[in-house]
Amino acid sequence: MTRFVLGRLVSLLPVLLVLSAVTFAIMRMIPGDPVEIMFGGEGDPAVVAAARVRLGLDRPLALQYLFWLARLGQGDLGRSIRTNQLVTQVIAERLPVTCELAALSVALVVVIALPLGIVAAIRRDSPVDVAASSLSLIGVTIPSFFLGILLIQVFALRLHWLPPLGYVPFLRAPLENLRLMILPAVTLAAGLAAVISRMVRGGLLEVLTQNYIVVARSKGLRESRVIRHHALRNALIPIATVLGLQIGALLGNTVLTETVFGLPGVGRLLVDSIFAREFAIVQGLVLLLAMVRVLSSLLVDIMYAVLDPRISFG
Amino acid sequence: MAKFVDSAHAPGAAESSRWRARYLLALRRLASTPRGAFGLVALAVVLFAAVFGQALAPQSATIQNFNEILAPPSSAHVFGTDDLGRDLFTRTIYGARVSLLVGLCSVGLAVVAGVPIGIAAGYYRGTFDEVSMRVLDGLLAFPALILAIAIAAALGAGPRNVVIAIGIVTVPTFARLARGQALSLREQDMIVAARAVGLRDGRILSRYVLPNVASVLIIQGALSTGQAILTEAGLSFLGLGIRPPIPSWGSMIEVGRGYLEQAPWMSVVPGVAILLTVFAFNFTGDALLDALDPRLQKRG
Repeated sequence: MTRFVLGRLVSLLPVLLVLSAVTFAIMRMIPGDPVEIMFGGEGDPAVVAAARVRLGLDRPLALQYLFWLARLGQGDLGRSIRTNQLVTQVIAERLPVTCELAALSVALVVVIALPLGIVAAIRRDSPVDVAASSLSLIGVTIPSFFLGILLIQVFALRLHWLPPLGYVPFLRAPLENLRLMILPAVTLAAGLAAVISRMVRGGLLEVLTQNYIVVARSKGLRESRVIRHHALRNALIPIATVLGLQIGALLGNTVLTETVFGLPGVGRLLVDSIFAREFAIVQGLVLLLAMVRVLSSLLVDIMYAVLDPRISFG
Repeated sequence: MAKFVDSAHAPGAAESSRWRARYLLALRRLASTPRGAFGLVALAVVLFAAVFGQALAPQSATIQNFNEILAPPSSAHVFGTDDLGRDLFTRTIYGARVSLLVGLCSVGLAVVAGVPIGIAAGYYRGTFDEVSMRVLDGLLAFPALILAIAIAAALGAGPRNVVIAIGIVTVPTFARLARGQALSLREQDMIVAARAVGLRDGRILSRYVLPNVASVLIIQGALSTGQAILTEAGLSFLGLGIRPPIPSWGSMIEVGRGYLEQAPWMSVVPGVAILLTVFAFNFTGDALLDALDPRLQKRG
């Protein structure tokens, strides 16, 4: 098991290397000299040149990349141009909001998509199945920012059930925080819930035709037990992988969702930093989000191996 | 053997008409399912709007009319007007052109860049395969929208840069797909035979590998175009894609967000347009999957 995990970690190294190189390259594509930007284009030439040497910008690009990588290894992402705050600190301040949003969304997916998929499979071609399929079709297709706007219009502006925008930290006012987070969480969850419920339905339908299900039924087991213990367990394994792959889409959509609902999370920070030309922050966030994605798929791989005894830890 | 050499060196009219017949059949099968039919009709409507929009549109998409700011839908303005008094129906039609152009061009870019890499990697294997796949894995490690945002931010807003950003993000999809196909094809008898007969690699790749990859690529092309349109809308919504005054559905929604209470139609109309267009591409792609390749049966 340890060997398996270590092997997976080693195989991630080239991916991380490419990932960092791509991030570095993208940030260098930005037109304009970072030092000129820092001084607003009107610094004393000698000072500008000195700053360039200090930041290592006079060295060849490949060398710059290696130095950057070394600093990255020490957890140094640089500082904000405007506030001189550490980039890691800026990001850490915004992270709880996004984590809460993502956690609520995944919880919603589990609570809604799983039962919906199961019922749709058991009552195949029933009105429930048809409704679930149509809902999931819309869920996959609808842009999350448009869904968010529709939810605000209906539940906040027309029905006045929930507040439309804003954010309060959970620890300060838990109830108010949840009231503000419901719509964003639903918005973010919709796409993933649609994919997962379809997968659960498909997977369960396939498993239900297997011989061991026939055996379980002919043993005289109750149907609920057959579904829960024999069918669902086997059907859920492949879904774990999909969940891992979809984390990327979820992370991307946090940017849109946080923008629609005015939440001060890392997604919104990314967009704000782009407009503020805070490229150290942009770079740090892009790296962070990609790393989260890579690590979550690693986690899923490991989980998969643990769940499925047929997979050997080779 | 002699027969094989004949068809290899003189593919001629018989072969191309066989291909055409196959696609015609697929098209007919496509239209026979409700989803496929809906997809094709919706696609035709969007295409029509995109191509003939200028002639069709009742009013100008950019001329502002301050007497009719935020007018609700009426007979004069079917979908109402926006914050500058512009006709929303007209702008939505113009938006179709922007969406489709960006969607098709970025997928086209991804195909042109990704498919040759994938086919070469799968067919030749070796170091090129290793290196190119590692690079693509690195690109795939990014959440797609985040990578698109980063590239668009670095290049700056505007249609051309959006196409480049979405194109780069989509390259791995096509390269991986083409590689997988080429990998399985290279072991098949027809390719082994073509090689044994002494055909040059270039000819084998273009005459035997590419046509056999084509149907899978067309299916993925339809699905990816829908995805690209969604990404463009997202980028434009964030202000990183296509900026006003060019009518893009994403930026129209962004502007409409400021008028949710007074003029909900400003965001709802372009939103529904995106939804229908992406539906059209997804349905067509799904139905194509069933129609073009009976071996690949969809689950569930």
